[in-house]
Amino acid sequence: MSLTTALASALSGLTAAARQAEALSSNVANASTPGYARRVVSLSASVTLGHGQGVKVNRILREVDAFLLNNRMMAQAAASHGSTAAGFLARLEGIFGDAGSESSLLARADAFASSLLGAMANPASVPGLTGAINAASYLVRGLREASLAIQNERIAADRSIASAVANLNAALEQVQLLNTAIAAGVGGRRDVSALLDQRTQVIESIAELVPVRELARPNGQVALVTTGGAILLDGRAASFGFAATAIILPDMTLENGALSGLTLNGNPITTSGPRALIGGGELAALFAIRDESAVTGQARLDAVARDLVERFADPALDPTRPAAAPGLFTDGGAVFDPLNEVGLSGRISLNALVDPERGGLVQRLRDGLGSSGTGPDGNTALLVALQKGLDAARPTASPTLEPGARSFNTLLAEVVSLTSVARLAAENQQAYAVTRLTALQDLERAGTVDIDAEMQHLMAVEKAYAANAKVLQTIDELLTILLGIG
Amino acid sequence: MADAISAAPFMSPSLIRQSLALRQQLSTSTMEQMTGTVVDPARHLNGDLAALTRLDANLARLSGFDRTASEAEVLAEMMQSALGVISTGADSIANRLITTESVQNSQQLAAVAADARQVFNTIISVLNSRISGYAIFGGVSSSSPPLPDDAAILGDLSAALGGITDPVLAQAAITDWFDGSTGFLALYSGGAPRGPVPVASGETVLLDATAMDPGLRQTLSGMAMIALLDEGVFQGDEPARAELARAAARELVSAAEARQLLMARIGVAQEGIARAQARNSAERTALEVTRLAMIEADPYATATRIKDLEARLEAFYLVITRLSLLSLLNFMR
Repeated sequence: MSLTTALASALSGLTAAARQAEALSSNVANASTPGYARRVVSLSASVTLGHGQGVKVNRILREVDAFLLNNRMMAQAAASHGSTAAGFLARLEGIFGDAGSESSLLARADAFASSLLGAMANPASVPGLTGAINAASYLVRGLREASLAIQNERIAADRSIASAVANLNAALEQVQLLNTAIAAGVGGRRDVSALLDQRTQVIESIAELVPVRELARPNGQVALVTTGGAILLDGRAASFGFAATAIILPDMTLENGALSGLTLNGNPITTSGPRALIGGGELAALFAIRDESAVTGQARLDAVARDLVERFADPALDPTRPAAAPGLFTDGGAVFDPLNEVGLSGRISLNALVDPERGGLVQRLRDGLGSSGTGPDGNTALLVALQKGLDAARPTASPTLEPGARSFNTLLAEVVSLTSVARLAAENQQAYAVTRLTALQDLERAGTVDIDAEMQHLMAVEKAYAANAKVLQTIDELLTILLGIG
Repeated sequence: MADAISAAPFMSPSLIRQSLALRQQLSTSTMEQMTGTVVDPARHLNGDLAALTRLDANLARLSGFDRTASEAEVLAEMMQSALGVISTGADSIANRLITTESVQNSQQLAAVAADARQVFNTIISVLNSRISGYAIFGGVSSSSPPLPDDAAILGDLSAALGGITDPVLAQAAITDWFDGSTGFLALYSGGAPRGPVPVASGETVLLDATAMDPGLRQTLSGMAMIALLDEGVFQGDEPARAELARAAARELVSAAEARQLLMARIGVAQEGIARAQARNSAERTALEVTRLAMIEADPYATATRIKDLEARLEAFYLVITRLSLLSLLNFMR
């Protein structure tokens, strides 16, 4: 009978309204949840009891723009890469010292030059000579501390890589599990929205480390591929391998095997260059820090240390010093060997012969390293020569820098400038990446939960429910009248 | 879907970033206003720090030159005043010897000789004088006085004269003793003349006078000839004494010329020091002005920017507050 059909239709209407309210309440509750996609109830007309029109809830849809999502995740990877790289270069600049700071390497070098002039003013004065020795010592300490700081950056990057790889592997496993659960849910025609949300969240955590693209697979599953072409997940999750190194020294590099590289399913892969499979995310940026930027920074610092050592080891400078003996600055107490430049800034030391704390005499700065320190105390000749030697333009021997003649100050300034230029370029790149990410996030946001819109929808659902309930009530009255006849 | 800070429709990520950027700019501008210099000099100079660091290096060296120049100034001053004292004494003796009466009259000669002995003592102690712990005329060995006391010198000299009775030979012997390597030189315990010392960029000053300077030795030689008369040389032989006194007078006159040359040399050095000091001071001012110009944050521009940012931030907060009140929830039952 048409009344029963009407009843059935009204009931289906109530159910539909209730399901809509359910989706709505979920939306409102999750308005600020990251990774949550707005639920939309998909309705269609259905046939009830052979004839008549009711409403059927097809399924709960998640409003997701897959293209936008992919783009935004890649932008996320780029922004992450940019901020990691720029952050390191800013810290490297800080290691060399900010312009104007008294503890910067440049300021220490200037103080050394000034202290030599001060000693020259009254060479008989022990405090004057001690001041020059202290300034030299301060400069040496600055170089050693800078070297240590750079190696600590490499160790920190190495540790971060290890934890990132562990997180990456765990996340890939999780996505694989979620894929299976979703496929089962879709097959059993259950609501898998919550699982989909969770999977999106896990994939986003992967996207920060490695730029990935999500590809659709049957039954709601996904495959993950990096922009470089490596397959991270397609049915089975890939596995990354990496071994952390506890202590990292300047001479340990990826090339000579002392540091671990990245392996994918047991095969070693590169993380930089045009053929890199995982280039562009935070993981690649960390490798770049450990294997490129920090190594370059260390090499430049070593070039500075080498110039300082060689400058004061010139045999023409101090006739009292035997030719084979180390000069004012030594490589850990020994003569500098040009083959051993790597890590020199961490080993550079003031010659013990002039260091009172190690049994030396400050007077040797005035009289010569090979002297007994009792020479004519008004003698300025060696001090004048030392100060001239510091400021003389000398061909730079280290292969790290462009060939040319520079004074010590010019060399140090060039190294600091190179670092600043790199930092500025990295910051510009980071700003661009962040702007792009923000623009995509804005676009994405247009599809997320808008409470005002949900409230408007709620009013409509309210009305629909009330209308259907009224229809139900009226049909009930009609049936009662009908059953009451006779 | 990234972390949404608020579900309000207008709080888009770009708006949030804008507010962050505004506040960051405000704190940067405030810092710049307080310090007067830009917060990030490297960015301000586009990464090229060469000029700035060169400037800093020059400023540091200028402060070192200040010390060397002022020490040199004091040393030169002391040298000139010492030479002044020496000249006064030697010239007074020489003037008294020029007149024939003082030479001929044995009593007057004895009186001049006695005074000359005192002046000799004064000259030696002036040559041994020290400033801030080091000897002025000691050359590079400045810790101890360069000469022994006057009695030792005259004693050594008398011994070297032995029993010479001829005043001409005596004069020659005394001159040789001061010039030779076994006499005065053996008593000199100072060091080699001082080397050049930098007092400005590219400029050095040379204050190389020691007690062994020819002008000083000649002065001492002339004074010794007279002073020895007081010590009893040629006692009783009046003509010999007179002859020696005349020789001394001639020696002192030519010594005066040599001393003038020495004082002129020191005067040139003093001029050089004064020039260097003036140059250093002017250079320091110029460098400091240039340095400020390189990294200065224009105070007017900074103040304007701060005002502008404050206004924008206030407007932003007002708009956010108003918009957040616009919720349908408030108007539903």
